[in-house]
Amino acid sequence: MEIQVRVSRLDGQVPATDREVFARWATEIFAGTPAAKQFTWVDHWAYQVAVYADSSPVSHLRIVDRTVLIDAQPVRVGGVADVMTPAEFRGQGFAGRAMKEAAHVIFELMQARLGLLLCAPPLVRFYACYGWQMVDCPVSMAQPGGSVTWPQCTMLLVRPGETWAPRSVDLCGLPW
Amino acid sequence: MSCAQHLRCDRVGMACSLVWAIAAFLASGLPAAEPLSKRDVIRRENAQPGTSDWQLTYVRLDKSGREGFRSPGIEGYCSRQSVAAGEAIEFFVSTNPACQFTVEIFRMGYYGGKGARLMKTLGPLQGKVQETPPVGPRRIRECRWESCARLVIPADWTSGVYLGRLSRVPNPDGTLPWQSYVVFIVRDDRPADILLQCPDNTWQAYNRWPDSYSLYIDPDNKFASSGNRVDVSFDRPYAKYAQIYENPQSVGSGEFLCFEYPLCYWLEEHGYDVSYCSNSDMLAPDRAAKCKAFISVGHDEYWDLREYESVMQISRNGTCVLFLSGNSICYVTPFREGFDGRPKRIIHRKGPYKGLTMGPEPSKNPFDYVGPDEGLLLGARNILPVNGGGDWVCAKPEHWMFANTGMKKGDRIRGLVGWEFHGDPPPIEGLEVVAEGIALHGGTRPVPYQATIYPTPKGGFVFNASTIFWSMGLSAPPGHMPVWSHNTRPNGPDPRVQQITHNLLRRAIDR
Ligand SMILES: CC(C)(COP(=O)(O)OP(=O)(O)OC[C@H]1O[C@@H](n2cnc3c(N)ncnc32)[C@H](O)[C@@H]1OP(=O)(O)O)[C@@H](O)C(=O)NCCC(=O)NCCS
Repeated sequence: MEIQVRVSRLDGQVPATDREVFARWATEIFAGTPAAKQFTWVDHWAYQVAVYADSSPVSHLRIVDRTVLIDAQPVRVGGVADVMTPAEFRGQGFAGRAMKEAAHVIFELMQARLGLLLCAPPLVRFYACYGWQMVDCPVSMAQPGGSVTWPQCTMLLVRPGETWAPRSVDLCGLPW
Repeated sequence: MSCAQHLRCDRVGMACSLVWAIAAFLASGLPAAEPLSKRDVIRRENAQPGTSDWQLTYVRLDKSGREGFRSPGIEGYCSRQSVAAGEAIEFFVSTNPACQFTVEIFRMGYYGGKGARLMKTLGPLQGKVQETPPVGPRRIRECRWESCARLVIPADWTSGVYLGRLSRVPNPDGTLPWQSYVVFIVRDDRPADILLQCPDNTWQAYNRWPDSYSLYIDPDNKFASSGNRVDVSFDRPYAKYAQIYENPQSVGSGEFLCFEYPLCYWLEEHGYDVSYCSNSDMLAPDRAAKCKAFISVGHDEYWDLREYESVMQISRNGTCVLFLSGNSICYVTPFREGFDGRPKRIIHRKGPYKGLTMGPEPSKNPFDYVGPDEGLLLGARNILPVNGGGDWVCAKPEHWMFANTGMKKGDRIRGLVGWEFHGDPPPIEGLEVVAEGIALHGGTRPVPYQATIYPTPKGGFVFNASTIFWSMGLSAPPGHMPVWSHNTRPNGPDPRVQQITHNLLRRAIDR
């Protein structure tokens, strides 16, 4: 099986390849979850990382370009969103490939200071395998009715050698 | 035997050159009352006495004909691709048989038509035979030579491309005066009108030192395009230019004398305020963001992702970007450090940017990675087949970039397109195809190309000339090495190419 990772910019006017496929996955995988129903989420992203096996799409994630406030200081982050592998392709390391590439996109392509993602508790172990660490402080985010606190887990990816221990995080907009 | 010798610019020398610079400035006819503005840096520099005695006369390669790449009698490389005033650069030189040698350091520019200015002579220094490194992991050839000279760049050295001419000192025992070059860039941080990027990643990718080890091929002619399996190091001399034609006199100078030199000569002739950098200086947008125009020139194929993002950012923040180049941003080329931790000394191909996987007949991609679409920055893409040769045919004479050229739709600039170009422009808002036509691949197969321009926020633009050969339409300075390919080549300097380039630069600078 030939595996290929493809990185695309999503901010241009050009539709990324297989965009419809990924939109369908997102509906199937996420639309029914409690978090998806409870909150309003972003609908535009800066980059897409897609994994192909023998030229068919098998895994996907997107990255938001956002300046958040960490301890009241602006910090540009690459926000990882919509990490998904359809059930029939799971357990073969495809999401892992995408996560490894996400670090390059965040730190090289975007030149962001940090990676930041929101997830459910069972996934913490998965992300920890790729160097992500838990944030142990309140994380606020915008919703149509005003600012709310994210009730689940938040994780950071930091550059090698840096240490971050935020006391407050404000996503400064809708969550991803 | 150690050959280390440390050299510094002494205060007296600096004071002298400052006096000389002011004298030359006054003599240059500029009004003395005018303050020394940033725009005068290049004019003042070019008022200094030039010399055409910067070329190589005594070249001997290891083998004759096509098989000879290196110059073992004398060859060398530098500790870094670019260096700022006040920083040190080291020269690593091997002489075989061992002998004394000198390094004459020239800044390349216009200088009254001579093309160079002698900045300093180092030596005679004692040379020795240094080891040809074995083939390492991922087929790398990485030298670990002893330094022969260390130079702290004096404060008054203007940013530019510098050639060090290495010459063996002849002596009565029969040592012959063989020569070769080293090349480095002096960069600065001034808010120059133009930042010119030398595509030294591409020089290194095609560098075959010592005996046909490039990012592409090895001595068995195994084509390395089949995936990410090869590393190349900047810690080795540049072999003779041998990509599409051969020129032993280029040995040690990368591809500078083929492509960048005619642009640098022409810009400085016209007094443009230009500063220089290497691919490796563009990993963050800060340097270029201070300039009004950023130029990619010649064959600029290999970009680290950070470079792609940096240029994307500056273009969206108002700096105009001119791709006077072809086959640009074709492969994602990450940097890593060399054996002793010096940063940005080794490159490889991670995979193509998206263009090569698009177009009507994309080849099978042998890499496990595809980068972002270069077309979103460049205005067109690397579409297979990417090479050939042809005329640059005007498609939009009413565009401001054609002002005062007299060009009409269909007018041809003969032979300007080649040997690699761009096509398949993405649907970017406001993008215009300003030249388009057919290049012949191998003299038989017609391949379409497109030159484009599109507007960017804050009144800027991105121009894609869609040819490696553009600079050959600007000037033909002494020592220039004009190339040809696919049975074609540009017809030499052309007033229309010159006028278009003036139009683009004036629009970028006079905002
Ligand atoms: C999470 C998900 C993307 C993993 O995709 P994948 O391609 O199977 O992942 P990989 O094969 O690279 O990695 C599998 C590893 O992650 C672990 N893993 C996968 N899903 C997990 C989950 N829900 N909880 C905990 N661990 C999980 C596996 O146990 C495996 O670890 P192992 O190698 O030690 O056995 C996929 O299961 C999925 O799409 N889930 C639904 C959507 C989702 O929850 N996305 C996360 C949004 S925050």
